[in-house]
Amino acid sequence: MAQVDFKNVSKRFADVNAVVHDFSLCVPDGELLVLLGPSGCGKSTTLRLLAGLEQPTDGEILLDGQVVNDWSPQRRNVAMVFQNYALYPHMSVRQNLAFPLRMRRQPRVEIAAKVDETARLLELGALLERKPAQLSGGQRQRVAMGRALVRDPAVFLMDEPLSNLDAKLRVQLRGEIARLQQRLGTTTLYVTHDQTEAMTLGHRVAVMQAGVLQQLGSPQELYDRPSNLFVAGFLGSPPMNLFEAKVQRDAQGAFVSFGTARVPLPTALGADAPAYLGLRPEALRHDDPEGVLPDVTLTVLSVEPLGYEQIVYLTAPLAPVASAPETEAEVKNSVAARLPADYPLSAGESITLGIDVDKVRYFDRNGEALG
Amino acid sequence: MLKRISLIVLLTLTALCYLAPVALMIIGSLKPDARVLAEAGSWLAFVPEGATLDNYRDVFARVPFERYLLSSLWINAAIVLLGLLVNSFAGYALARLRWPGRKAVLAVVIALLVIPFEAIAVPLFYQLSALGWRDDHAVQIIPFVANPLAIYLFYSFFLALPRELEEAARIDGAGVLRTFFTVIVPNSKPVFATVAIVTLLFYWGIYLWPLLMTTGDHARPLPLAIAMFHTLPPLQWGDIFAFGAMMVVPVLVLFVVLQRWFVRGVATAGIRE
Ligand SMILES: Nc1ncnc2c1ncn2[C@@H]1O[C@H](COP(=O)(O)OP(=O)(O)O)[C@@H](O)[C@H]1O
Ligand SMILES: [Mg+2]
Repeated sequence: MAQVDFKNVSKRFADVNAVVHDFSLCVPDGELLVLLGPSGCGKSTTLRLLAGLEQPTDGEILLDGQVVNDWSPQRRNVAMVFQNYALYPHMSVRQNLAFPLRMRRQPRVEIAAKVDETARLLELGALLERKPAQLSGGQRQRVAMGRALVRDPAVFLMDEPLSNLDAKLRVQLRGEIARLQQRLGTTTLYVTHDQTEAMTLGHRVAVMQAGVLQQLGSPQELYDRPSNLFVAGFLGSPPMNLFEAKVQRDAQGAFVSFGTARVPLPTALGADAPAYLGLRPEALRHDDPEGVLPDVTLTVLSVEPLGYEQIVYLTAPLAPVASAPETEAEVKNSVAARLPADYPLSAGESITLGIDVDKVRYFDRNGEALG
Repeated sequence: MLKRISLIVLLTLTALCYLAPVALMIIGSLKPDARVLAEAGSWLAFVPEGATLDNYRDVFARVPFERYLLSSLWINAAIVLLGLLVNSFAGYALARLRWPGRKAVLAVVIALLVIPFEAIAVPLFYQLSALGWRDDHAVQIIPFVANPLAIYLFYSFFLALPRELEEAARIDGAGVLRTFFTVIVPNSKPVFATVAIVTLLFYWGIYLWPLLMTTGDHARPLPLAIAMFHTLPPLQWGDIFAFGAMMVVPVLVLFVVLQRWFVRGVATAGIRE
C-alpha cells in the first residue's frame, strides 16, 4: 500500500523533445488511477519512470513520501503487467508465479502457499504446469496479473493490459480487474488509450497529450467539464462537437448564433470572450415539449443506428475547430446528435432540435475551458 | 518431378564429395599399412576387408596420444566454457546495459571481426615471449577466450530478445546478474550452442599457435601432434589415418549433442521478430 507522487517530472530521450513534460500527480493510497491518452503521448514512459525502468531527467518521484529516484526497480516494490505480458517462456505458470517470491528469498512453504492462493484467486489452478506458449491470450493475461499480485506490491502498474485481447474478453477482464483492485485495495496506475476502459475503471482519470497532463478528475468531471479542447474532443463517442464561436450582442446580452438558434452566453463567463463552443451529442434534444430551448433546424447527413439509440450526423451551422481530432471523413464538418432509436430518420431529411444551453461549453483562444 | 530428382541426385553427389575423404580415412585406419597405399586410387580403398585395430595400437605405442588428447580437450574446454561466459557477458553489456563508450567498444568489436588470427599471431608471439610465457596450456587458452565473433553473435541475439522479459525480471526483484542467468540464458540456448560449436570447430584444429608456443609434448595439442606424427619415420599411412580418426571423434560427439540447438540458432539468427 502506498501513495504515489510525481513532482514536476520530465523525461527526455537523448536530444529529443520531452516525452514527459513537467508532470505532477498525486495518487492517494488505494486509488485506481487511469492514465489515458492517444498512442505515443508518454503514458508508458510515465509508468516506466515510476517502476524505475527509466530515470527522470528532472523532477522527483515519491512513494509514501520518500523520493525514490535513485532506487532500483527491485527496491521500489512495484509490480507491473506489460502489454505483451512478458511471461518467462521457459518457466511453467507455477514457476512464473513463484519467480517474484523466489527473488525475494521467501521460504519455500510460503511461496507454495502464496502461489496456490493466487492461482485460486485468478482461477489458474488447472494451468499451473503449462508453459506460457500453451496458454490462450486471456490465460496469459491472467498469469501476468497473478505474477504481479502474488507478492503484495506497494503499487500495481498496468500498461495496456487488455489491448491484445478480443473485445468480449476485454470487457470481462475489465470487470475482474476492477473487482480485484477493490478487494485488494492496492494503489494502481492503469495505462490505456481506450476511453471506455478509462471511464469504467478509473476512480480518477488523468488525460495526457504530447507528454503533458491535460486534466485530472473523475470520469464524470472529465466528461461534463473538459478543461480544454483536447480533452473535449478526445472523450466521448462520438466526442464533443466543437465549433468556432462568434460572439454577438443584442438587448438581451451576449450570445452565439448556432444556425437559427440564439445560444445565450452564461453570465458566469463575465468579460471573457469565448472563441470556441462545444456541444455534446446529447445536448441536442428532440424532446422539448415546452419549447423552452432555442431551436435549430438542420439537415440529416447520415445515421448510425446503435439499437438502443442512434447517432445522427447533421450539417454544421458553424465552422468546425480546425484541430478537432480525427473523425470519419464522411462526418467531418458535421454535428453529431445522440437521439432515441424510435425516431426514424434518413439522410436528406430536415429535423428541428432544441439546444440544451446549460450543457454548452465554452473555450478561449488557447483552447482552455471557460466558466 | 524431374527437377526434384535432379536436385536429389545433385545433393547426394555433393554429400558424397564431403563424406568420401572421411570414409577413406576411417576405412584406411582399419587396414594394414601396406594395403593403404597399394589400394589408394582404386575403389578398393573403400573396402574395409580384413579390418584390424593394429594401427590404433601403433599410434599409442609410437607417441603419447592420450597426452595430446588431454591437452586438446583441456584447452578447448577452457576456451569454450570461459568464452561462453566472458563473451555472453560482453554481448549482453553491449546490447542492453547503458554505459559511456558503449558505441565505441561495439565499433571496435565489429572492426576486430575482419582481422584474421594469423595477422596478429607473430606480434603476439613476440610479446608473450618477451614475458617468458610459453609452452603451457594457459598460453593456448587465455588469448582466445575473448572473441569478437562470439561477442557479436551474442550481441545480436540479445538485441532481438524482448526487452520486457528483462524488465519484468528486474521489477520482480532480480538484479542484473540474476536476470542474466535466470531469464536471459535459458532463453538463449541457440546462440550458446552456436558459439560453442563455432569456437570448438576453430580451435580444435588450430595449428599455427601451438607450433609457435609449444616445444615439447608437455602442452602439445592434437593438430600439431598429428603434423609431427606425419613426419615421424617410418611413414605409415594406416597409423596417420587412425590418429586422424581419433581426433575427429570428440568434435563429432559435441556436434551431435548440440546440433538441435545449433541448427535452430543458425536458422533463426537475424530473422527473429
Ligand atoms: N527509449 C526511448 N528512446 C527514445 N524515444 C522513446 C523511448 N521510449 C519512448 N520513446 C518515445 O517517447 C514517446 C512516448 O512513448 P510512450 O511512453 O511509449 O507512449 P505511449 O505509451 O503513450 O504510447 C514516443 O514518441 C516514443 O517514440
Ligand atoms: Mg505505451
